[in-house]
Amino acid sequence: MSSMTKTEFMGEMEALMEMPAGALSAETILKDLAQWDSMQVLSFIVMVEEKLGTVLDGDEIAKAKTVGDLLALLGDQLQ
Amino acid sequence: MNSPKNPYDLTGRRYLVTGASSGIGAAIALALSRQGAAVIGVGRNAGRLEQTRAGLAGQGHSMQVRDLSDVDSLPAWLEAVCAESGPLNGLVHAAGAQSALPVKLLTPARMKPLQTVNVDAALALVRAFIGPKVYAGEDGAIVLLSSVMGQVGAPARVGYSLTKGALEGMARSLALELAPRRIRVNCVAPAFVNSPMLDEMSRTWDDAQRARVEQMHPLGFGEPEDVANAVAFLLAPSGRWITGSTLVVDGGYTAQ
Ligand SMILES: NC(=O)c1ccc[n+]([C@@H]2O[C@H](COP(=O)([O-])OP(=O)(O)OC[C@H]3O[C@@H](n4cnc5c(N)ncnc54)[C@H](OP(=O)(O)O)[C@@H]3O)[C@@H](O)[C@H]2O)c1
Repeated sequence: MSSMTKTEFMGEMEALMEMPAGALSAETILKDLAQWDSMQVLSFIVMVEEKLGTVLDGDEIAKAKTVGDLLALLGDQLQ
Repeated sequence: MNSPKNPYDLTGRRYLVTGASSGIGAAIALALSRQGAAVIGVGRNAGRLEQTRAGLAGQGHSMQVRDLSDVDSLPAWLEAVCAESGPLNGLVHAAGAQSALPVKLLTPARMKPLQTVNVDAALALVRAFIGPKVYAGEDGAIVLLSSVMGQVGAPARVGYSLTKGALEGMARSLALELAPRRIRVNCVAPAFVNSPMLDEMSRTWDDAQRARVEQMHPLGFGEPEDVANAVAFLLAPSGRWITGSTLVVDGGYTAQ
């Protein structure tokens, strides 16, 4: 099973959303991000599957309020 | 012209059905066997192919474990299969892969597996089918499984739509080229059907999204046998004046 650091992972998320490096923090509220729409959620699922081998479920993602909640879904896979 | 008594009867005919190990393909194998046909089912999963076989009506069926993404090998393989089983009257390509990917992520590497099984394998199987060692020479019919995504669109379905639109285009030109050989070619285009493919798709949906998608089907989600019966109709004498068309079987999805 692959793993990455939380910082690397947030970097991947920033790239996905075409945001400058360092724009996201664990406290960032997802619904405040104009980019966080259904297409972005799909892209996020694909990114997680390809980088970490984990398939996240749409319902779990819908419950996440912050970037930190998304990181928490990945538990031990993020150091 | 000698009209058969039952226009849905497939007795004495043999069909290759890809995707017979799951969902719609398995239901097609069953429906054809119930109308009297012999079925050669194809898939990768031997255990699930065997389950399909166990449910088939009548005799003379066989199952072939085969990865259809090895496209170049398909013509020789199909000849060898038919040398054993006897020639085919038709072919149903129900093996397929789906994808829900924003276009930004639709790189050639991600497109390839979809294109290979949905389109390239279909074309290779058609080429193999029309050869003298495979086609029985009468009552020829090919059905390719398209989707409503071959007719209309949806976000994140660019790759999938592309492959299904390709099948419908392919079917029209094939229908004209193969009419002199009495081989009919049609597509069936379902909307969402309860199947492992729907389970895989809906994994990325939250509850609200699932409800929205279901509401887009005025008759609700379909069942694999709803699609299977349409395929059987096209293959049987009931379909003998239908070629180059797409039969939409979608619970009203595209009527809106
Ligand atoms: N379900 C729907 O809502 C829906 C709607 C519209 C159109 N369709 C179309 O209907 C067809 C059947 O769908 P389904 O719902 O029955 O899908 P499914 O349950 O996911 O089954 C897919 C089938 O394709 C076979 N397959 C995939 N890749 C293969 C490969 N490389 N080599 C050999 N076999 C391969 C699988 O075999 P193994 O499992 O043995 O690997 C399985 O039998 C597809 O063309 C799909 O696009 C489905």
